Parts: sequence; structure tokens; C-alpha cells
Amino acid sequence: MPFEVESSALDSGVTVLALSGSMTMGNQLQKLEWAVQELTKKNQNRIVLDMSKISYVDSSALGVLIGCHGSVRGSGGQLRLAGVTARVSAVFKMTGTDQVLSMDPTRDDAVSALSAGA
Amino acid sequence: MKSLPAFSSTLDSVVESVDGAEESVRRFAEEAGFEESDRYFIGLAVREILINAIKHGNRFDQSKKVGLHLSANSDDLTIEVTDQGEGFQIESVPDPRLPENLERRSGRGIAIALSVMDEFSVDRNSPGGTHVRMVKRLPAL
Repeated sequence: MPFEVESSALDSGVTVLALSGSMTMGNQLQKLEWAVQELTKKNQNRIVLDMSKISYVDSSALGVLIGCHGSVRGSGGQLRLAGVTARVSAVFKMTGTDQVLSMDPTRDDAVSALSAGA
Repeated sequence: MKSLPAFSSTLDSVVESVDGAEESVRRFAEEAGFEESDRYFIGLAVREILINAIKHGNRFDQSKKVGLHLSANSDDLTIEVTDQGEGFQIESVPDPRLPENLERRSGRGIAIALSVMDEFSVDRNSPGGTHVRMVKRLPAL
């Protein structure tokens, strides 16, 4: 499945990037990095990645997520993941990625966490 | 489980080779008797080792190939991946779960394979390259 990124700016100032498809090497993962870079350039650096439609990630995707986390944090913002499926969560645990990324059960939870921190 | 004939395939050193190979592994694992959840993670582990062979082993050199060999018996599934690169020592691969490595962007593929598989070994191939052997045991009935 092609990897897609859809951006929605909320009134609270939080931006939600809804991800879908397979997050694997060679499947245009750079779309996510570009989207995050564009947002941080504009100082829109409170970002939720809605992962609820991502059912498959490989280690390249984990690297991209960690890179996005680092660039958002470097800009003084915060990135949170929402709706991570059980299998993707298991892959995060295998690799220690769960210790780096902030995660919430739902998109609304993640948006609330970032809105409260504004 | 019925006896399965072994499966062998030779892949070009391009990322596009991996999807089809992963699908072959999942089908083989299904024939071997693994449930869908196990097949998902077995497929992911093999994907990681194939990418490793193509990227870090053969360095995308089109003149070099990656070998994939699958075999199964009533107890387990064995997956072997060979490349024609310089080889590597598993001890030299940093553990991504250590605090100092948590934010590294790479190096998680081996950790996935180690977590998924019951056995994992890396040997120097002869005359060169790397031979990775992974075993996944069938759950006891």
C-alpha cells in the first residue's frame, strides 16, 4: 500500500498528520520528513502523527519517526503519536523506540496533550 | 505438519526485490503451519535481514546477489539469507535499546530479527559475504 500523509491544521494550533499505508523502505517515507520540515519551518511545531491507519512499519520507518521527533524537538516543539496499533507497538518495544516517542491511545488524546502544553 | 519442499530464490540487490521475497516467506510460513500473527513478524524479520544484505552487504551493487533459502520440518522453520558483501560481526552492531543508542536513526533491523526469531546466527560466507541463519519454532500444539 502506498504511504500517504494528510495534514490538518487545528484551531488550537496543533497540526495532525494522518498517515496511511505501509511505512517501509522504498515506499516514499520521505513524504513524512518533508511534511514535518515544512511545519517546523513555519514554527507549527506541535504535531500529532495519527498512526491508526498504519499497520506495518520496518526499521527504516522507525528511523524516520525518530528523525522527525528530533527535528521537532530541536525546533522547540513537540511530536506525539496517536492510535499506534498493537503490532506496530510491539515493533516499537522490540527496538526501544517506545522509550523515545510519546504516544497516546487516540488522536484526540494527543491533540489534548499538545493543546494543554501550549 | 506435512513435509514441505525447501524454497530457494536469488534476489537482485535492489529494494524492490524485498516485497516479493517477504510474500514468499509468509506463504511458506503459512504452509509450515504458522498462524497469521507469527507470519506477520516472521515476514518483518526477514524483510529486515534482506534489506541489510542489499544495503549494507552488497551495497546495492547490481552485480551481486542475495540468496534466500527456506526449509521447514515438523518443529521449526529455518530461513537463510546470504549476500556477497564484506561481511559483518553481529557484536559490532549497536543495541538500539541502550540509552546511548535510543535516538540513532539506524540499527534496528537486527534487533527486530533477534526479538522475533528463536535462533539467530551470522557467519562469514565462503568465499565472501555474510550468511544469516534464523530459526522460528512452531508453537507447541
